[in-house]
Amino acid sequence: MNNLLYKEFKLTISPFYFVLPAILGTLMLIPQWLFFLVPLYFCFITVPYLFAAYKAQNDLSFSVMMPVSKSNIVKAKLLSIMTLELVHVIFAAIFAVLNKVLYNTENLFFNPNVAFIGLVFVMFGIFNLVLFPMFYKTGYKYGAAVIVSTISAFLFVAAMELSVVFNKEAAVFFETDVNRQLAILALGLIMFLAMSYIAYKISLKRFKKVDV
Amino acid sequence: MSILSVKGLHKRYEKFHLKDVSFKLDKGYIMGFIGVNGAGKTTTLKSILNIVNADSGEVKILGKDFTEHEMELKREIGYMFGGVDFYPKKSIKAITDVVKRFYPNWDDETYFKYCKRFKIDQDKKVHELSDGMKVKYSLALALSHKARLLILDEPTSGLDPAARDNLLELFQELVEDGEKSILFSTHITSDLEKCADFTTYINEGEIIASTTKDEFIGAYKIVKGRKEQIDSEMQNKLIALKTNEFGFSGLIKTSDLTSTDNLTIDSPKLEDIMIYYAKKEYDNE
Repeated sequence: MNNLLYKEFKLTISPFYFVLPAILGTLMLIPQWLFFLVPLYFCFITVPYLFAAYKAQNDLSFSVMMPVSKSNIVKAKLLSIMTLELVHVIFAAIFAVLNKVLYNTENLFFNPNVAFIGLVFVMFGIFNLVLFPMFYKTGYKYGAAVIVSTISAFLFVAAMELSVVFNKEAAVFFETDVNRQLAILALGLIMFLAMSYIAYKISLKRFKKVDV
Repeated sequence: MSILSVKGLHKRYEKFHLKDVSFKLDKGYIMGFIGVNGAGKTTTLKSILNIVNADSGEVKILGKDFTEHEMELKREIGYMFGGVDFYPKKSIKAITDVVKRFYPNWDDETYFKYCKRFKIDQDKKVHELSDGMKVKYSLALALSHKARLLILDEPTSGLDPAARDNLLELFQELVEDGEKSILFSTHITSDLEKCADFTTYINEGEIIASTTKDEFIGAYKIVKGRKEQIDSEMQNKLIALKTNEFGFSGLIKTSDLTSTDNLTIDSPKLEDIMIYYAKKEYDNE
């Protein structure tokens, strides 16, 4: 398992994808912006390129040639993507703090606050839940999986953004009480882990049937 | 002791069926696995290794059930499907650094010994290697974790005659100590003539024979005669036949050969047996 993760970071995932979250994080400093777009860039940019690289580099045939179980193959893939997602969240959070320090204004759209980070976790949870089970039907076809999972994540964040713009109660709910925001963050993190775990279970069940 | 035993392997695809594949390979021998393209060689090898999920069947390696001890056994054997074709832009050094971590038995000294012998430059990238070098690099990887059984899918295809000869000599050298065995698939029959102790022949997903090379060839004869000599009895006995202006030639099982009246009888080459079986399938379609 650790060996497979080592493989992901050494051979498969270019170091650039660890720099990208820092670059994208700076977008959190655009005044009055749709901040959910920042983590969503991970779904738009990193994932399609990364999954295309898996296919182009015959990543799957390397993994099956090693003495590893299918469950570890799926687990390592999921954990490496979750690591990248976490890096995105961390940089988004750092720049969100900077945004607060620099401008300290109310946003028309969702404020970059603690609840925002919690909902970003939920967004990545939904993304993983759709992406991995669809991808592991074959282990290499990623087009439909990436499109559907990105749309799912997008619909979720669109609903969140619209709710605070058009519904005063929602705005109050997400943007006032700090304790409530912290609870949303904790719940978001739990949902992220839970949805990723379910994604792993379904993916493995499907991948076991795949003839590589 | 059988180092590999395969019993009743079945795998059904929409247009292809691997039927009841069974054979055995003993310690210290080389087995050639032959068949035309699409006969089921790769599917069989992948099913043995559980890379393809067989519908039924039993595989034992080193006396242990493969599905029960899959990870343990995969560390004890080396396998390769058509050379290294992953991470084309990565250096040999980077790939080896990852691969070696998966094998507790890995030995750097053996690895560098084979790399030196095969002239594998550690700084080269995979895409810069020729087909022959890719095969050699895979072999170096397999040998460095002290694999006792090598399962190689078409290691010789794409190699020039000199490189092929070189590789086959290496195979013989590897089994010399009597501890290692090699199962390799090929459609190049001269490979077997050079180095295989045993031959397993697969046709349309079915094992036709799995025996020593001489026994396999001895089990068939080529008969030649005039056109009018083909009666229905003869036609039933012939596996396949070719006719031309002057007469016919056909492949027949030695055991089916009863009368020799005016028929010329020749010993076939491995290649002839493959060609006639392929013709039989073609005629049936």
